[in-house]
Amino acid sequence: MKLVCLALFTLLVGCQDLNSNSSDREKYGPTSLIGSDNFREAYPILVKRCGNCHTSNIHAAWASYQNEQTWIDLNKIVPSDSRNSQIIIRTINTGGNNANMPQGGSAIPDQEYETLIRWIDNL
Amino acid sequence: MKFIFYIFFFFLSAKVHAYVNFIGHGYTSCLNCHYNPSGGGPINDYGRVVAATLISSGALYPDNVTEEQVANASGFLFRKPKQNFFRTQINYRGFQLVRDPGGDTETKRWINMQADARAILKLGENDKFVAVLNYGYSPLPQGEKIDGVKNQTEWRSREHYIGYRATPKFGVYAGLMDKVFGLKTIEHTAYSRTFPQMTQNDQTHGLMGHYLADKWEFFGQYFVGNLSQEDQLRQKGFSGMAERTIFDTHRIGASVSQSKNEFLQLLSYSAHTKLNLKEGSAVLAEVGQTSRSTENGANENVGRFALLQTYLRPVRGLYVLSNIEYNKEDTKRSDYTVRWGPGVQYFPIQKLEVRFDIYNIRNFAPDTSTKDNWYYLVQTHIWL
Amino acid sequence: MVVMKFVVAILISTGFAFAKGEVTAAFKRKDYHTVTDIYKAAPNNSYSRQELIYISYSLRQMDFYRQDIRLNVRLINQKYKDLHTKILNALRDGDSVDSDDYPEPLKILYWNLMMDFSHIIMGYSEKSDKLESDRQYFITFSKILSELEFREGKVDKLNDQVVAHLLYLDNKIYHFSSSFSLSYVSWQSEALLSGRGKEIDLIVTNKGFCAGGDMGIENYLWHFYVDGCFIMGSGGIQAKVNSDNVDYQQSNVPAYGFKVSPGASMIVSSSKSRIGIRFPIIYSRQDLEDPDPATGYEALNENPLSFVSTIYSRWQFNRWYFQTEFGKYLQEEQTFWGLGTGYNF
Repeated sequence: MKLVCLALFTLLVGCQDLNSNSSDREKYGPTSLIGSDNFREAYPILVKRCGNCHTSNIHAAWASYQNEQTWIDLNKIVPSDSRNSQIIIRTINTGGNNANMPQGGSAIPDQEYETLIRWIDNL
Repeated sequence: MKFIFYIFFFFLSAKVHAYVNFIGHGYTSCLNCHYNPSGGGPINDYGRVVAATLISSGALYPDNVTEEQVANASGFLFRKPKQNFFRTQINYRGFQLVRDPGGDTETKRWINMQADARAILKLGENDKFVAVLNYGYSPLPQGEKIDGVKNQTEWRSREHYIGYRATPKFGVYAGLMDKVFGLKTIEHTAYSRTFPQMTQNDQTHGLMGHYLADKWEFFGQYFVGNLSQEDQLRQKGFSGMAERTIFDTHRIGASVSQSKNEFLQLLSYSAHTKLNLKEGSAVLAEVGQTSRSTENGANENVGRFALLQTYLRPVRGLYVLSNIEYNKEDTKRSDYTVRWGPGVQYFPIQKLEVRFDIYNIRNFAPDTSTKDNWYYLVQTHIWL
Repeated sequence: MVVMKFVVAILISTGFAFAKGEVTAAFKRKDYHTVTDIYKAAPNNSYSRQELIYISYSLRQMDFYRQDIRLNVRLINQKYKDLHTKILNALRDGDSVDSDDYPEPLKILYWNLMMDFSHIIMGYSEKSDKLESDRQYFITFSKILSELEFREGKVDKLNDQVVAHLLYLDNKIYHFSSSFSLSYVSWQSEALLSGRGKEIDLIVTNKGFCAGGDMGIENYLWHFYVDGCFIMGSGGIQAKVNSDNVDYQQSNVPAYGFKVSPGASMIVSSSKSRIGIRFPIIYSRQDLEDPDPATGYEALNENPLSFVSTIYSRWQFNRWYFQTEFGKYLQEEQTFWGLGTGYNF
């Protein structure tokens, strides 16, 4: 009986709990952004356009990268060089073969895309 | 107290994958083949026989093997069960995912998507009482950081519930199971699954009632989220679905789901239909909408989705299919996405499925024009 | 002369005796070929009743159904002519038939005849006047056996098999088919920005409608046709050339043209749903604006003619149908897809 209860308890509290809501705190909860003013404009775009897939449910939780330095440390962006920054290279607005993000979603509108470029180029 | 609460939701397992298209074989209700009346999860003895004799091809069997012999081998490890109260199943699904095939950013990856073991306890006449457990491997996604995931183990209970059918028409189920909503298709990344958060990991603890009448079928579910997850993140709410058989062989239905956690509120509606075009061919369609309200006001929107799945069965065991999806992330914007996925699904023998799907994603926006995205999957599914 | 005739008669009767004994012996060792050879060499011999049964069985085993028919008809006329006439008259006049009035051997002869005609009918691979004549005989013997209530279950089963085969022969015949259809389509096409010694690919994404229909021939299994439709739509065009500060973008540029597709489909269900392939040839025109001359670029349309291969599916609901089409341009990256509805005339 003890073993059954232990198994039950383990099952219920020791099991993986990854699901669609695992990143809700980062995506929809209060933010504490650390970085430039341009980053404060760029961050909501990254969460809105990329956060549905780049969450802990599927990939890394980009919504949790609330410190500008994190984006640099993880090589997502190259300061002052948007052309060589991964998040610019991979988005589909360039129309090249490298560009296929946001995958399965709508293209990033030009205005928002320019906000991202401005953020990176002004670092 | 918490411990007793946990004990109440004793475990039964159910698998998340369902083949809704089997309406093409005349099965309007999932209860025919599944322990879970909303479909998915382990299949019962009848479902095993159907899978072995109707769904799977017989082409590879020697001529002297009869259908009866095939049916008798449909049990666990190809054996006919010797008792009536306990069943086990093992299930594996893996696929090769190739993104941007032939392109500069082509990536290939083998993903072991699922490896489950299931145990089913069934008692009483016509399985009046069932207890199902489905536990298995669930790989964590690639990435540098996994916030919001308390238990970063690669093992999870996919479903565990008990069910009691007071009458053949009415049953109640309690435990961890899928939410009831819309077409429970095998493609868990379909927009119709991701928008309302009904994907393969979105099982919830709750209580479900099921009523099956002559032409109607009703589901009502109250849920409190996955108790393995921290409380603030658990989506709590209710969902319901109603279906009606029309012209004796087709089904139409509607679903609603409302839930919230500390950060996100969701309200989803959908309408769907399942059309039986005979001899295994079928058309499934669903349209719906999900409204999101968030604590920080970000990503608040109303998104719309549509799914059209078509199945044609040229010969027994072989299905040629198309997944056609529509996705409008925000109804206030005019851009939308269409994802088209032709594929082939083959059951060469019982307990084995191989599948090939290719996906093309095209975006439509008034002020951009972008290249299509492509990826393909080669999938193997084995069950014992 | 008399002696010679006597000797010849003895020899013939000995030969006959030999032949008759040989029929039984050959049948007992299941040498149906020899039995039928003996019968064919001397069909008018006075065989015993048992030998005739052996011969009839052997003829059927060797698929000599017409010879067996002749044998059985001869036997009916020889031994049961009056009864045969009686039952035919009863059927013609709608009178009742008392099965007890007819002996078992006669019923067996009728059964043999019905079986023979069923085999003959199921051997036909297409319809003909001879088939129709054989069908009438089959129906006659089927009715006789039903009235005599002889081997009813087997008679019904044989009836079903023959009906199924006749239906198959009907369904095999190709007939003309045509329909009207309307589809929502999307296709990407190629264009270029040319200038400054360079060529930049433009991405043109179009959507619209294709209205037309198809004509062809189909039977129960195959459908061969030509499909055509007029395309009306619009599209967006974009390219970015960051190095030259070129940002070319157009929206809702009208596109029109037509699509002609030879195709073949396999019908996979009794509801006439089908799957197949098509080879569309698409002609589309779209007039692009040139960018600002200061950029040094001009917009060029590539070849307006495109060759595509697609997978086509159709789900039939009585005369209406729903269809999908998806495919890739040959030797190009672009895709074409469509979904729509149609109506069979």
